[in-house]
This record gives sequence, structure tokens and C-alpha cells, in this order.
Amino acid sequence: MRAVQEGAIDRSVGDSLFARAASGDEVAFTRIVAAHHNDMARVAFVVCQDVQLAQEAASAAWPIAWRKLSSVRDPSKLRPWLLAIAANEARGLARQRRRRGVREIAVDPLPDGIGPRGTTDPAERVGFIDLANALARLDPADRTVVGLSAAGLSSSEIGQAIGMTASGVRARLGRVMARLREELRDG
Amino acid sequence: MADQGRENRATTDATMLARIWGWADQAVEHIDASAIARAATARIPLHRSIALRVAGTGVNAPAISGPALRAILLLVLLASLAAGAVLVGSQHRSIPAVVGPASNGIIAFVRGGDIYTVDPASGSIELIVPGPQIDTDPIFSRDGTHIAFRRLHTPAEPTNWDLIVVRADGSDARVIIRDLSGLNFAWTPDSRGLVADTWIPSSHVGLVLLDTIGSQEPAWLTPPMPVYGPSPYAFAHGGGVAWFMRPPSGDRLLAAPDAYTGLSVMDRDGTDVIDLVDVTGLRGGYQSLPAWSPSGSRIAVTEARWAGDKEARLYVMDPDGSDLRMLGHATELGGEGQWSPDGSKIAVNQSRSIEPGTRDWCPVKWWVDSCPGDAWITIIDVETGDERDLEATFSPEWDGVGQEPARGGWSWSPDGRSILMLRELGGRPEIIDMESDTSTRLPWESDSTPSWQRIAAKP
Repeated sequence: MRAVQEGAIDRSVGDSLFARAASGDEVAFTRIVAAHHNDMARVAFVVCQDVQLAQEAASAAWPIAWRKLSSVRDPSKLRPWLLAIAANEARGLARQRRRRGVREIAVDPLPDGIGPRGTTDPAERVGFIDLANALARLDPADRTVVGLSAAGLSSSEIGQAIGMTASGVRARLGRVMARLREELRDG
Repeated sequence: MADQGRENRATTDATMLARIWGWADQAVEHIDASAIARAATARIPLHRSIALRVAGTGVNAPAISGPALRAILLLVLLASLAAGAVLVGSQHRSIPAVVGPASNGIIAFVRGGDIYTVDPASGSIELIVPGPQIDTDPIFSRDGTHIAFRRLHTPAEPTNWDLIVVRADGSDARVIIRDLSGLNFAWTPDSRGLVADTWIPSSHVGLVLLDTIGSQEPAWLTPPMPVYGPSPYAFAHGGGVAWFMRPPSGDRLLAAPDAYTGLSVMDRDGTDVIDLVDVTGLRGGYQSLPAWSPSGSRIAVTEARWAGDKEARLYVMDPDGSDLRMLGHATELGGEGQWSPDGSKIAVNQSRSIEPGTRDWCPVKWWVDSCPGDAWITIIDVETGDERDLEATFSPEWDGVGQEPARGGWSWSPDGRSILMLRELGGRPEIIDMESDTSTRLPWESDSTPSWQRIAAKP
């Protein structure tokens, strides 16, 4: 499912829903959570590459969003803002886990013995593993840029969300994608 | 031709990004967000509205509010302690006020799930906590008399663990609490207790204060500290002390509901609140690792807008928020600053991204046009702001270490004359001498951050 379809949900939610949520309407906020949580978990997963941590990061982002929603002046910036918070929480959790005596071992990024949902193609599974290993060799900041870009955010949106210039995002993303191309071609 | 090449790369990149998104979509289970929304919007503190899984009993505390819930939570924690604890007897000891530099004692480390101590001077190693269990993260109390560590339940449950305290020689083991599900713990500055975080399912983190001396019940610090998400608090290394508690007694707490809201100082009971300068409001960034100085006379906090492009800053201030100063220059700080034992300096992670086309610090094997950078530790004088990079701590990022020189953690030596660092879990730690800026690699390997015992001078 491409992110642009999820983005359509954002547009259809509309300014009125955002305004109600920002003013404390819990029903409206619940709809926003429903619209964005899964994308936030996906971005967090790209950043930390752990399903449980990704869900925890996305969940941890919502109390922050609830408190700070009124600070988002432009409803069109909501999705990039939420995705950036989830990515930041994922980085924090991943960092904490690294420090707690859990030595990283090579793991299959997919649930044990199960292929991608609806697919048991070994070739596709190997492809996912190669992709996961290539992403694992990036630093967390690079994975963040990749995750937000894969979610459909523009360089400008990514830059505003994470405090870089749009050109800086493009340069960094270009560098990272070149590296991924090289690694996946060699792998 | 060049245009065609760029177009081909753009198409390839778009395809790759779509693959990444599809992979993430496959991996992350779609969940019902309603419970998450309810937790986020609860008008009472969140931990009161979310079931708390306690101590492996399968007990889910009912969602109730008010003082009754607090009493029930404490009773449940106490019950789990009574059911599972192995109390060999309580201790009563006088705790000296340990602040400032101390002498270097032994170092505790873990290898293969067992805890060892080593005398760095003689190299003599002792196995102090053997056994079939997987033990990790030994941390000396600030007075050097005890070691706290985590005991994992099983390799399949790395985030569920018990917290155990032993004497420095490994004797007198006591289970302080069972089945914590958080990621962090640290000693209180007075060496009397431990602070740990524990996850509340589908919500976030609570901080619990545990008594290691007498028999006081476990007590939530949150509230009165704000309930918060993944911690902005000082659970980093730096000697394994909860630096959000003011030394030496831990009477005043640095508190913030999350990394995006201003910091406050308060008493342990939540009174006498002072709002400090909101560094997150200066540039719309986030704060990390607020920490009292070892004497409790100053506060340091890092503010960053992501670690990249020279956007992180280190601030110090007085306990009432006055005399706010930025230390050093804005740079790609990794966010982990640690006060020296005498409070005169702060050591901080730094990193640097290398721009394409340069060869500076780019390892030979790496691609010239995509060398990502490196990381090291900088020492900053708190009074003068003078900076000094420790060359011996340099670590290249190209192997995916990330923007910190030591994924296995680092800390000041008790005497403040060196840095103990572990670049990679399972590797050999190093002692970086401040004066000579040289590294000595120790002859043993550690699976988690080693901890250096402080031997305080007798009064």
C-alpha cells in the first residue's frame, strides 16, 4: 500500500476534524489516531527495525501529540509532524535497547517461519532480508530520512519535521539511496 | 545521457522506497488504534487508566482513579515482592554523602551472563555472580559498596527482567523487584535506592523508586513527576546514577512530561515546582538527558533538532533556571553529556557527517562520495567553555555504529582522570587517559557497559 493512499485519508479528514481534536475533542482525536497510527508504526519500524519497538514508539508518540496538537498551526503539516515524532521515539527506544546488554544478533525481520502476509515466496523473503540487512547498516538518522521519504513526505516536509533544509534532505537521501543501490546490487 | 541516467536512478529510487514501505507494511501488524487514543486522551494521569501488568502474576489492575488506585498499585507491587523476593535480611548502614571525585576501585563487567570484577591495576579478575541465569548491566552504587544488575527471564524475553543487588564481592544477593519491563535502571544519588522504568502496555513509561536498604514499599515517582513517554531523563551511563535526582540526597527532581516540553524542578512530593527555561522553545527542538551536577549546584541539558547538521546545543543553568549558558559551539552532539566527578567539565558525544567528495576521515575502503562521518567525545570546561576533543575516542561511523563513539557506553573514572568506554558490546573496553589522550585496551571482554567502583575518601 503506497503512502499516497494514506495521505488521501489525511486530506479527507479535513481542517474541522483537526481543529476539534486540537481543542480537546477526544472523538476527533481518535479518528486522527486511526488515520495515522499504522503509518507511524511503519516509519518507526524502518528506523528501529523491530516490530515491538516500532509499535511502542508509535504508541508513545500519541500522548505527546495530544498535548502538543494545538501547536501545529497548519493541518496539512499534521502527518509529517506525527511521523517525525514516531521516528524520534523509535530512535530513542532503539538507542536505549542497545545500551541494555542486548547484543544484536542477525535476525530474520519477518515473524518466525512466516513469509510476508499473503506470500510464502522464498525469493521475495530473501529480498526482504537483503533489504533489512542493507538498512541495518545505515545509521539511525539515515534510516529516519529513508523512512519518512518512503512514507511519501517531500524533502521540504522532512526537513521541516526534523530540522534540516530541504536541500540537505535531498543530499542526504541521495547519498543513502546510492549506498542502498550499491549494497543491494552487490548482495 | 546524463539526464537519462538521473531519470533511471530516480525511478530506481522510487521503486526501492516503495519496496521499503511495502516491507514495513508487511512487518507491522495493523492494530486497533482506539485503545491508544483512549490512553493518550485520558484526563487523569495515564498510568491510572491503563492496566498495569505486574510481576508475572497476570494481574491486571483495574482502571480506577484517585488515591485508592495508588494504594492498590503499591499493594500489588508489594505482593509481588513478597511472593517472589528472596530476602536474606535487610540492612541498615550509614551512607556517607558521596560527591565529587573519588578513588578508582574495581570494575564490574559481564561476560556470558555472569558478573565479574577486575582490579584494573593488577588485572586480577574474580567471578562474583555465576550461575545459569543471564545477568547483565552491573552498576556500582555511588558509595561503592553494592552492585545492582538485571537478571533476564529468558533469552526470548529480553525486556522482562528482575532487579538484583549484591555486595561488591557478589555476596548477599537480594531480589529487589521482579518482572520489570522497562529498559533502564540506576542508583539514587545517596546509594539507598534504585530507580527503574517499567512499561505500561499500550501506554508509556512509569518510574518506580525501590528501597535497597530497609523495607520501604516501592513507590511511583510518576506522579508526582509527570507521566511521560520514552524518557528524556538521565538514564544514560555516567556511573549508573539517576541524574535527574539532585545529589547528594535526591531531594529535588528534574521533571518533564516528554522531550518536547520544558523542564521543571520539584520536590519528591511534587511541591515547590520551579519551571526552568524551556530550551525546547528556543528552536523548536527536543531535550535530552537533563542532569544535575555531582554537587547539585547546576543543571545541564542538551537540546537538539535531530543529530545532524550541527543542530545540537549543550546548556547549563543554576537550579532555579537562572544563568542559562550554552557551552561550546553548536555541533552534531550525540546528546549524551556527562558531568566530570568534580563538576568542572562535561564530556559529550559528538559526531560529524562527511560531505560527499571529501576524503577527510573517510576509511580507504569506503566510497568517496558517500562516506558518512565519525564520532568522538569532547571535553568542555564548564566555566570557560573551552573544548578539547579526545582523539583516542574517535570512532568511524561507516560500520553503522551511529552517531556515538561507543555503542557499549562510556563513563568518567571515579577520579575524573580518564574515560572508560566500550565501543561495542562484547568487545574489549578501553581506558582513555585524559592527560595523554591515549587509549589502553583492557585484556577482557564485556557484554554490557562496565561499571567502575568509587572509593570515597574517608572523612
